[in-house]
Amino acid sequence: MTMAEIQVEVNNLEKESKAIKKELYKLAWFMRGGISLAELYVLDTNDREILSELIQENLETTKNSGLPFF
Amino acid sequence: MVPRPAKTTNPLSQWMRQPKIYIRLPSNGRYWPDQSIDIPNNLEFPVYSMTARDELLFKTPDALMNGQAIVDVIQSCVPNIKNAWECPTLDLDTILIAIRLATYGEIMPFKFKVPNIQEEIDYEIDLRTLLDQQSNNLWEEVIIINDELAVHVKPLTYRHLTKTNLKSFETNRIFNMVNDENLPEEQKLEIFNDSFGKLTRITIDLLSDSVFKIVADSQEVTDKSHISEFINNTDKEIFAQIQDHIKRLKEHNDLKPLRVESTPEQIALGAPETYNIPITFNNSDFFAQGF
Repeated sequence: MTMAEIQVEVNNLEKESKAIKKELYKLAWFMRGGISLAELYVLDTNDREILSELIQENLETTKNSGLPFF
Repeated sequence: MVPRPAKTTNPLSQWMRQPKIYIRLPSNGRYWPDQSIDIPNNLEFPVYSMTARDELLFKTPDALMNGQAIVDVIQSCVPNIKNAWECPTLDLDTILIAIRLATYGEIMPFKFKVPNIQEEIDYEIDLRTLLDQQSNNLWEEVIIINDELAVHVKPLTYRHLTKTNLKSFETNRIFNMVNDENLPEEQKLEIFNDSFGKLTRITIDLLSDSVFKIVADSQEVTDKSHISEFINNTDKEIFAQIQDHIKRLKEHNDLKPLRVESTPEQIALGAPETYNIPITFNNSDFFAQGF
């Protein structure tokens, strides 16, 4: 790998790292105190997917029922 | 003094995950030093999926480069492994494939370019097949040099592998510097000789580290310094015999490349009829999320 290729790889890793952190912060925010950020850091991808689905379902329910969510 | 952050905030965090799969190591725990591994009675090691923290480790360039990311993730996902630096290279691929499988599932998406025409192809590898191949890994410990001399070898560890990779990286960097047109010829020669010397040293050190016992005239020699002295002073035939034996085992245990056949359209554009795609464990590719 040339230095330029290494730099591209490092930039990609930084972007991917930021995306994972953003996903965790979003989950913590949408769970409204149901799970802490520290607990999210020790969850695997499957569990995080389940949480995302749960949030999606709750958003749909809120939308359909007209109850406030935010 | 800044207090060190606690390793985990919740003492129950290790109970939050369930093992996803169980694997047998090709070595069955042999070649792991005491205290570095806790071998289950049935030799089946539980493998957990990676946490978000583990995934972030694989996105940290320095930790990838110096090997700490792999060590931390192995110890997190295979808790029976206490010191992954001592992991024999014989077991390494099996462990990494199992962690990938436990985290993202059996299918690993994979991209490669067709030789000569650079067309990018999306491909999928079934990790269960790779894991099955790994069960054929073997290690032959004894090299009979002659009737009176036998050399016993063991696989290198992940620590050796990382050290070698870092030294190779450094040497490559120096070779690139040598190609700099602005450097005077004498300086280039000096740098080249120095690097070549270092590479030779690495080869000898690695071979010396692989040997753990020599039986000469029925006398067992296990003293590290005696073995090292022997390797440094032995004749080139014996050196080559040991080197060839280790190379043959490495080739047998390495993951086999993917054999791909080009389509008639690709062949018309200049692609070869068949070609090999090496399956590598480049961390950033291998652990990149598959969905």
